[in-house]
Amino acid sequence: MMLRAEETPLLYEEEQHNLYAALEDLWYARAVLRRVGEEERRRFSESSWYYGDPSYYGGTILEIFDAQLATVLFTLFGEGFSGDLFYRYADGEEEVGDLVGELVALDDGPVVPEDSVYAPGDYEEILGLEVRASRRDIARLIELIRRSEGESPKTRLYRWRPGTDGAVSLGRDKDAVVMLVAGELFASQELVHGLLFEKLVRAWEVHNRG
Amino acid sequence: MENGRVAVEGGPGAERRLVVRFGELVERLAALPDPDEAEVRRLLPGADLMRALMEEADSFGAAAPGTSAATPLAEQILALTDEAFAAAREILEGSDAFERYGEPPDPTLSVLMFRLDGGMVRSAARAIRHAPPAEDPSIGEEFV
Repeated sequence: MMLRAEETPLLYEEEQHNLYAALEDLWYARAVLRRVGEEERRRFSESSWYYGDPSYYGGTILEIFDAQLATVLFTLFGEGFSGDLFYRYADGEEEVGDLVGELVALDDGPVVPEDSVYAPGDYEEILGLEVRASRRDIARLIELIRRSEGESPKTRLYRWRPGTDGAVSLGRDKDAVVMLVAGELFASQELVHGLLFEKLVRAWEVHNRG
Repeated sequence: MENGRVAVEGGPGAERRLVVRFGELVERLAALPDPDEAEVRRLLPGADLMRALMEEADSFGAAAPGTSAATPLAEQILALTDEAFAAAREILEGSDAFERYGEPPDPTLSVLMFRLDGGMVRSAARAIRHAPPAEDPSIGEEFV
């Protein structure tokens, strides 16, 4: 340990960054737990809740989101679901189309993420969330997401194009649904919690609360 | 070593051993201005919340009243108060100002630093740093 001549900081910059992110993660967990029931809270307690941002320690915040996604899925839907976050860099809508060309929109529309904290075309970074489960459970989840949106604009949902790595890795009787969101990675808690995970929580609410 | 002086054994670049007169250290700590007790009480839940996040405590302490490490995780998180979150952010901002601009912590923040610094490593280092001039002046630049 080397101490600077001027003063010893209470917390170094990387610790501060990590703790700011951790507080947001905990705040979000509390908000979700307030919306679900006793059974979901019990499942949450059986899991772990990962928090923070290890970017300054050589890691990536996507590791945290992946771990959180596992907890969110188990909390909301129990066994049988798994998922991953993925990140892509793009520049403009055409490149987005090329970049995620392994995806097929369920409505056969263009592969352009519609949810964004920025105006269309401004984004350079895309976050994706993939949920895997049995074909029946994925069909049910898609239906719930659709119902949760009501009359509001529909989120474009995707499947892996047949023959791509994503499709091949699913195996028999398995399916996946993918959601995309555009925005800068530095705003990732806002994007992942506020937009992507929110779709899952809203789907649960529609199923359980109508 | 004179009373209250810090002695450093070993030259720069080599392994060093630092000796501090404990009585002098305690006197200096006792001479620090008193913190605002009400402010300390207000911010303490935030310090407890941060200690838990830093894995220096196994529960949220005053941040989640009525819970302990044995309470299911969901119930612990649900018990976290808005005031604890606000206090934690306030402490972090104080620390940030300290780190970025060198603004010295006020006595209240100093007390909370002790609370956060479970192993007392930072606090001890800080106290040593401000001890009377070292016999070896090279300590003025760094301490390894």
